[in-house]
Amino acid sequence: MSHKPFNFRKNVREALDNKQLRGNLRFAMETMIRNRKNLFNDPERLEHLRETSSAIRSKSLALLPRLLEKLEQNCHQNGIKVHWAETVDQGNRIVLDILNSRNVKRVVKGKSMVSEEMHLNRFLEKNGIKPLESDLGEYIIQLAGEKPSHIIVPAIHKNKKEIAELFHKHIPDTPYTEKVEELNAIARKVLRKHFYEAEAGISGVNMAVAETGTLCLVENEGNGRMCTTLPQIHIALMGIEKVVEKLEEVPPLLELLTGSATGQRMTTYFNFITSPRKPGEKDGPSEVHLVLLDNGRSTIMADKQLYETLKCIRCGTCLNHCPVYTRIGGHAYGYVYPGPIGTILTPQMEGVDKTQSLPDASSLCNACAEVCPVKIPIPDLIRRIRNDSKSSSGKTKGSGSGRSLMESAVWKGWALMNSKPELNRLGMKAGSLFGQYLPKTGPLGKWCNIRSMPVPAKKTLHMMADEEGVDRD
Amino acid sequence: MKKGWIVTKQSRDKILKNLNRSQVLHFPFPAEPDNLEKKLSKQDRISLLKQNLEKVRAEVRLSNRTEWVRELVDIVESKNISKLLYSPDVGLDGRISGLWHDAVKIDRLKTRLYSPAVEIGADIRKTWQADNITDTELVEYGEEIEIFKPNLFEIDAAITSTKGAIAENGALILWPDEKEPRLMSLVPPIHIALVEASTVKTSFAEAIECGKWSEGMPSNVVLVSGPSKTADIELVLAFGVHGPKELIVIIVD
Ligand code: SF4
Repeated sequence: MSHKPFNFRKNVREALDNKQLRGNLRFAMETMIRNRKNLFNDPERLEHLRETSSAIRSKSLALLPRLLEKLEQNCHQNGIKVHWAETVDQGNRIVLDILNSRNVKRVVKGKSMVSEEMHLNRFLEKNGIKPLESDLGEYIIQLAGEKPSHIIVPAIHKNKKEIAELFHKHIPDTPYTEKVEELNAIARKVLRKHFYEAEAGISGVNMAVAETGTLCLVENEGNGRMCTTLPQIHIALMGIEKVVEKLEEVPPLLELLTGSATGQRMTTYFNFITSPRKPGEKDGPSEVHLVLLDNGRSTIMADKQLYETLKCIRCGTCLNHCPVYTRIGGHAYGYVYPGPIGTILTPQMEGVDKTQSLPDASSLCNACAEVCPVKIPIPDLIRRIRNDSKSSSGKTKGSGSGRSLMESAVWKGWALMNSKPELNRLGMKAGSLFGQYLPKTGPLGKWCNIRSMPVPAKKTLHMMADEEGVDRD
Repeated sequence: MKKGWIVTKQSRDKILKNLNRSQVLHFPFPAEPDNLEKKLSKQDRISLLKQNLEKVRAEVRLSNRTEWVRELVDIVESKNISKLLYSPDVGLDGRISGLWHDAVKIDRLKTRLYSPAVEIGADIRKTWQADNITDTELVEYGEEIEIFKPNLFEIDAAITSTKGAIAENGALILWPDEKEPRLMSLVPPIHIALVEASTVKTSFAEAIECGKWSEGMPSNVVLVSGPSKTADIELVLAFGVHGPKELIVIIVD
């Protein structure tokens, strides 16, 4: 998707005009927020869990190179082959090489955000292999030729009518039905056949445990287990940051991951994969490959502040709680990772010069930081990236590209006004006296199309304080 | 492949070099993983497990060592199961008796193992032969999946043992091995699982700690909580999408 010129403002405009999308999203996000809240009903315990998990993730990152080597060594001992990819292109080629050298044509896929990041499907299709998405949500959007709009519920922007039409149109001999149970049954039937025939399965990894060389996968549907158990070959894709040191660190992370993501105490399946089929065993893949993808992560790690981005466990709850995401949906962000996490991760991966106004997709309301299970200070990182995008000395990839004369002038004026109390007072007074008469044309007019313009208070705070006789010192 | 390997070796070294440059970070040490201390009594563990499993639409039956096969017969009859996949020589503590046999071989001991264990496979077979009680056919996972696959996809239900269960999570611990391959609990539409009451732990952390998981993991371990499900269409919860449509748990006390 990053190949099309990215115009965030245009995307936002289109998304806001789409009433259906806004309705679907609002309902879904409210449900997910409620479910999470019901589950985490003990604030003290939640806080303890978040503290623990945040510390586990920080520790894992601090020890990252050592843990990766240990993971590699233990996987190797268990018979899992480890591959390292510095770039998306390398990652794609590794996967293609494995498939081609074994003459594999039929591939099923479980949900994996890293594979989205790699645009793996597009790459494999160009090379004559069409992997079939098997997670129900991913299957739906693959039929529609779209991209996920949410990292946990990828087809959340589609309602059952749209899905009914898709199934009816694309799956042979499928009558039109809007019944969710029936739609599920159709998908089950179609996909079972593909699981049966698949020669290779591709999956993501939710976390990997260095001390035992174990890959952990979380899911509800069972398609992930199918992809990783039935075919002869299993290829797991993982960002290098997803490793933890010990097995005992898994339970708190799991509890927060499933609880934050869907409000579930536990997903249906928690799958620990430690080796391919051993002699004597009757099933399981005979080969397991782990592809470790960097794609800019090791550079992010070099920054003392921004490295916290990599603590993320991809629970998606910051999306659900974000007033911006809830209104514009995932596609408007234009890249694989939407919502607050996308706002901080995408510019660092792609470069702020490419993602342009993406870091502006936040009202800095702090809702994301309050719910993030691993306590990533998302708003601070957004502010930092915004600054970097305007400053040529910034460290984020592509820094300094976002400087505009107009904007620098406005901010300079703002800084001046706030450093001189007299000027500030004058400005505020002018605002309260004349603010409501501002003409709604030009940029301000556009701004008001989808928002109501706030009416400045009749009196400034200072004026009121003086009237009430409040001592201002 | 050789060329490919060199490329990933170069990438590996570069990624690690990059990461090593960034080792300036301070981090707080994680707090002790919690709740190991708050162990519940056995009865409380079992009722919490039952309650949590039922919340995710699993069917739970409480039984004992002599009567559980009756429960099984009842299940296969009421669900019209015509083919039941089972493992002929697995017991609830099959692993213990397995170890015992090995020890016996090595030490040439003649001691017989006194095992109060439930011999799942043997008990099922005995009942099936003796009582002629049901028409349900017993099927074994006889060969490797490449050969057995067509049969596996025709099976109505499978019964497996478990390594234990976790009360707080409402989850069973499946520990597939040569006798009970991984796909038994995944492909058939109904999965019946036997849990020995004494193996039910309070928390996930406790299960990992007591089972000494960190000392070595088998090829595959799966925690299972309920039948397969999805909420991908308008967040409407529906059961039985790719994995089993029903999970029936018999707790043997
Ligand atoms: S940033 Fe935090 S809340 Fe957002 S997806 Fe990552 S872990 Fe979840």
